[in-house]
Amino acid sequence: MDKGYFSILRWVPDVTRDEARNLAVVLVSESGEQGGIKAISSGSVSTSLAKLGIVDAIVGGLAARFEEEVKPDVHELQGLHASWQQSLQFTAPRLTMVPDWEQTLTTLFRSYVAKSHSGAGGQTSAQVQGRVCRMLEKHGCKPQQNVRLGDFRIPVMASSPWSKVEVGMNITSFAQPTKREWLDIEQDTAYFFRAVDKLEINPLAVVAPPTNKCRQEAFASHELILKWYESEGIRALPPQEIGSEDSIRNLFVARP
Amino acid sequence: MDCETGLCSELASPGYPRVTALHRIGNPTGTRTGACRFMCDDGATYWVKHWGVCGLGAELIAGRVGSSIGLTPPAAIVFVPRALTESISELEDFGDRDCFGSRDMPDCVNARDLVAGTSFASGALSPSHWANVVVFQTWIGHRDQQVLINIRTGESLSLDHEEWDAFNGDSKVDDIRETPLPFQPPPDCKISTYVSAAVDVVEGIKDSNLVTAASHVPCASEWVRDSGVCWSAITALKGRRNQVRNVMARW
Repeated sequence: MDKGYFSILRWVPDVTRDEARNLAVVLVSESGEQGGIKAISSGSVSTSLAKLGIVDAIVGGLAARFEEEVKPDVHELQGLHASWQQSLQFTAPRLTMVPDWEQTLTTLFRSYVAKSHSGAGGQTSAQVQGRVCRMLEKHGCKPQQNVRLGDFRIPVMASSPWSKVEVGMNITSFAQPTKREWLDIEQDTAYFFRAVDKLEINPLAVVAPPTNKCRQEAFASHELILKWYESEGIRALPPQEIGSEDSIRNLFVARP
Repeated sequence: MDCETGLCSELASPGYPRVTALHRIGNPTGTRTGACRFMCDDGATYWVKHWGVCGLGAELIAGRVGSSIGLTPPAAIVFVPRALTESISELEDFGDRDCFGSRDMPDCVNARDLVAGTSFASGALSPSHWANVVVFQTWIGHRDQQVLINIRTGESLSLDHEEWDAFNGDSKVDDIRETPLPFQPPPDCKISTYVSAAVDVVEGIKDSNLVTAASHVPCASEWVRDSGVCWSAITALKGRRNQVRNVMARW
């Protein structure tokens, strides 16, 4: 059986408090023949962290190293642990047995990274936003997150590669089984209406509906929010309707 | 530079403000200077060093000047009690001494630690902040330039001012100092609006601010030999301040 070494990439917003959030796991062989990295989107950890995509770009740079013929080895991982000592840190490399490289990486990812965010299942608004942005980016729509326009901040602004239409999106998720209060989402929605009114942007909402594991309050608030969007004349789509090129083209419709 | 009585006396006045380390956070970096983090009695956490290539005075003065215009982490003199370092051989030289501290900045990474091939989306790194750092490092004549990047905001700060030309009395700005990077810097940072605004900030630093930054520096072998060294640094900085605009026009 092979042996490998793994480290966890952690985000430590405040090193004094040392309250870390795990972002990725890296697995390497002793001399760099095998290895990989598995990461979560920074948006699923913190919306503000995902705003500019800097952390995702940094993780992307690390992932690119594993595409090379000679991948990072345990010495390089040790070097990363020694030098990355600020807000992004690597834990000290630890020995692990590796019956299968891909499987071991997935197991480590589920144990150290994915697990701390899965909770009772469901998706936060930040997670849905991250997925929608990735879908838009895939189709060349150049999404920008948390854009400051005038006095307001718009969660996502995206431009169409097929026309000159630009759309401002508000993205929320009611698919959160453990969430009890929904006032924050209702207030964010009202803020979005105000922004649309003042900025005269083309608005669109993406609203993930509650799942059958959610509390009754989620369903009530979801119904209320959809009524508000309807009365404001703003389309509100569930995220599963955003996937194909046609569905994305249809997002970019100028407001009459 | 005219030596006004008030400015000279501030430079030569004894005593200096300092904070005291309360406990260590993490291990020494293992780099040449062996910096280590300590939480201090002012509530802040500092990266603390006990020596520098040109002396800790260089770090302190650059840090004070830079932080006064928001371009470097705040700097401090940190007293490290021996009890915090006794059991660790790498920290032997820190004990019961006044060391230099650079405040630990949340959500930051050192740009040089990032791997080659890291590619940031357009607009992720703030071009105006990047221009500010290049102008600042060019003004002081920074050697071994390093940059901190805030991973939330894309803003940047100049870091690690062990050695800079003005501290050695060199008053001529001869080249532009850009930090060697494993990735592309923000493409817009060279836009004249950003560069000009950055130079405005440097040119707006008053002589009295420079004197304040260079005053109350410990006179000890690991800091500065005497206040004459600080005076020489201020004189060079003032001379370089008038040259930065022309040099940056070449960028």
